Amino acid sequence: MALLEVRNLQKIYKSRFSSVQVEALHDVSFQVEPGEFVAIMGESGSGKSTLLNLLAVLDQPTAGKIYINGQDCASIPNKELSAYRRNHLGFIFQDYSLLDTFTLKDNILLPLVLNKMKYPQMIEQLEPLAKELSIEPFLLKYPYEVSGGQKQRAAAARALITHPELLLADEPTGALDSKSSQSLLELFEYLNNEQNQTIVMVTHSVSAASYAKRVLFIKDGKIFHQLYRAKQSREQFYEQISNTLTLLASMEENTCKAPYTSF
Amino acid sequence: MQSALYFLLALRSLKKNYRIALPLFGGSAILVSLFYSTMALPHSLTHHFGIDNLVASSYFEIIEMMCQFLLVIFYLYLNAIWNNTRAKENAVFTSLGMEKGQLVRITFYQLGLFYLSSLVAGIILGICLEKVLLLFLLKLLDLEPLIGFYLSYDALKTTALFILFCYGLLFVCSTISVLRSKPLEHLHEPQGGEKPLKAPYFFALLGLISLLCGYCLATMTTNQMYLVINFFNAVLLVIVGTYLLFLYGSYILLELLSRNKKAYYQTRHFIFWSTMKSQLRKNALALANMSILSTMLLIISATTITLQLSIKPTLEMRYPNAFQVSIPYSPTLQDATTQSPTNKISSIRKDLNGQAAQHQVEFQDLRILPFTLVSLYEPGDSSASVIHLDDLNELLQTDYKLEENEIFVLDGAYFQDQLDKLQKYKITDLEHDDQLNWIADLTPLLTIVAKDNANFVPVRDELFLSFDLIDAQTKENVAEDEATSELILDLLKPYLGDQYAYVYMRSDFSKNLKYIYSMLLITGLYMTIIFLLAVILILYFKQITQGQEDHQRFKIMKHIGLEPDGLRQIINSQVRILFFSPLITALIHILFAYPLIQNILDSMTYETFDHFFIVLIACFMIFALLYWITFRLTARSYYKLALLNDQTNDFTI
Repeated sequence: MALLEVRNLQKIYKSRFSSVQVEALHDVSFQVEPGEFVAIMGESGSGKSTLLNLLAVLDQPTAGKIYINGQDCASIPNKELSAYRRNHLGFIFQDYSLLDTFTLKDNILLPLVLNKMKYPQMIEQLEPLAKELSIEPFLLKYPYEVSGGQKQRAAAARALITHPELLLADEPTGALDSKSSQSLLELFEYLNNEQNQTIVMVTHSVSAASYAKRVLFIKDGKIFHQLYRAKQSREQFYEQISNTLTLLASMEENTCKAPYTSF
Repeated sequence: MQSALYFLLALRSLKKNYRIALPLFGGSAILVSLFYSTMALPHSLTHHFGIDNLVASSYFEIIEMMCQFLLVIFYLYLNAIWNNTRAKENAVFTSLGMEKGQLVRITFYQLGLFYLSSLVAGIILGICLEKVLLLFLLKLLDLEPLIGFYLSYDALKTTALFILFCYGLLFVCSTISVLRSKPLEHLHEPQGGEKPLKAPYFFALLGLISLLCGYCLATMTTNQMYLVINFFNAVLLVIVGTYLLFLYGSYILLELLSRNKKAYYQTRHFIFWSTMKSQLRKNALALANMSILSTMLLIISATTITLQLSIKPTLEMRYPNAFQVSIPYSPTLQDATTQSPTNKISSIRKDLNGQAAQHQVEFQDLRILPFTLVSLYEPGDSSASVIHLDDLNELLQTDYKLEENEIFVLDGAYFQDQLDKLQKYKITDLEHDDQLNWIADLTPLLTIVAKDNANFVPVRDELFLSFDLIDAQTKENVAEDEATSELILDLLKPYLGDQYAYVYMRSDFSKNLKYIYSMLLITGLYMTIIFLLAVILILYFKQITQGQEDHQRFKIMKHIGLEPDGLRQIINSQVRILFFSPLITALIHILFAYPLIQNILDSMTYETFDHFFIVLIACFMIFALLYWITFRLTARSYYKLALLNDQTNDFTI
């Protein structure tokens, strides 16, 4: 059974003061199997973030269904949504979303505290994870005292500490330099390969996407194309993604020019 | 054309930052109205009633100076908030290529708009306020209001000029701040990095000691000599203590709490304690300011209201009769000294009644008290008044007894020096009641009650008379005026000889008392309004800035999986603790200040008015209600900003 199943998803935004409607997602369907690492690519405004917000149950779709582990997300009562999000999903954001009033340790422990776990148990969970992510030396520092890469690792630790079934990452390398990006993506690859962690990552970086096992291309609110890495090396996959994007861009150019040529 | 552009930009930024601009305009208008009314009120009084005596003008001068001082400080505070609000906008303009000179021009137009609008609104408000205050003051002074509208052009001119001066100052400050600003810093807002406080334990301890010393001074000072000086010392200590405890004490408290890991990592405490720690640090100064301003306004309003309410009892005690006069012991009375006290006084009474009959008037409730001015230091220098025990018992219908070599003193606390000269006696400080207070107050000297005054060095003998006077035919009270005063002196001629005595009239005293206390009340009112305005505006601005800061934090918590209800609960308790702490602090401060202020008031108001506590608590209740209303109103803006949903900002589902 697929871990995540998206069926005919549609999202329409309406302006509060006018009748203007924007269709952010149009009939999107796809599945993510357990242990998959999927990258969703697309340009700004293509509907990537809307899709991720819907997957994260932060927003409700206008039509269509999302099933996580076979459970219809729309059927989760409002009261249980927060707990559901906390226990089944992990999030990593482009801006790290760390609370500046907490140390890294407290930031990472936050979901466990919300789950009312006992302190010694929390530490038991934290220690191996911190070691794995090499953030042990910075645990007692505040977010503003550490580098971007360290912050993003802490954010990853916060997302992983509840052992979520699905890790959702929204442009996780967007604010990082190339070295930190590479190290984070290697971490994702490691988590995916060694711990069978399912990851869905939204990105517009070809390099980031080339770490995934599958790439979905989204354009104007629709799934436009998808690529599997299969046995390819990362470099080969990078090449393939890049070519697809070029193709996409040239198609767009053609459609834009079309009215003029027909004239 | 160019000016129009800058004007438009200035206008647009005012509109965009309406959350800050509107209260600034309101605050400024109220300040203008207060200033105008302080300027116009004395003019109106003079215009209507010719009340132009020295006391009045000096009071208004004090109010004016105080208003000017507080106004300038207040304006600087408001301006600093406005500059902060606009810093980011200025940074954007700079990055788009606008020069600093052009930014200054925008600032100029904005301040100009603020000036003109708040001046017009403030003067309209001020005219109303001044009329209301005038009616209030006339009511207090028992004067009839006159019909007619009077506008003081002098006051208008001075107000416009003074406020212009204030805005000129603000323009200079804003220009400096624009010139010195580094726009890029505002474009990339750093995530709040805070340095750990230096030596927090030391300063917190210092604050605690300072506060406790202040409280001790306030509760333990009973010596009349040191009441006022200790009051100011206590105020100073409490202010220092409040600041230090808010800044350092709160930090330490939360730091210690968070060290208890078991308690700290509980869901209920975790987010609350850690966000509280940073919020308290950011707001400590403002909260301490609010506490101190609240305490001050409570004490000022309660004290001035109490004084106002004490006028009637003070008057009744100090002047049981309409007239009081102190005359020298005339030679014609010398023969009476050999008689027994009762006989002596009754013979004086008989004599005086006879004199009155000749002038077609009658004494009523005539109280007679002979006393001797004596010298304790150099011969001829009157340093105490001695009353014969029998005379005192006769006047008050009491039965005090003195042992051999014992004397009573009535107001010993003020005359430690003189008491040292009386070491050879056994001194008893009589428990004061209203009657004894009255007697103690007859002369500004130490009052001694002795069995016989032979051991003292006499300067002269005097006779104190207190009485009402009625017309012998109509049986109506004689008017308290100059003519009656002349009549009384005429009537006392046989005793006075060619010496002069001053007839004290209750109406004069009453007028003075009302005048002084009413002016104090008006002064208190002005200060209360200014402080209240400051508290309300600080509360509001803090909620706004806090709301903006918390917004991002709460958004993250929501994403991580904190239930909306839990979030709301945390915000509620956080906001409540944060913003009600000044009110609680003010309550504790006034409760400790109460004994000392009561003592000071006692020394001013004859212990007859012990309702200060009730007035104080009533003032607190009213203030708390106002505070709560302000809090509720401003909290709305806070919630709006803090819980603003980004997605529903422009689009809704």
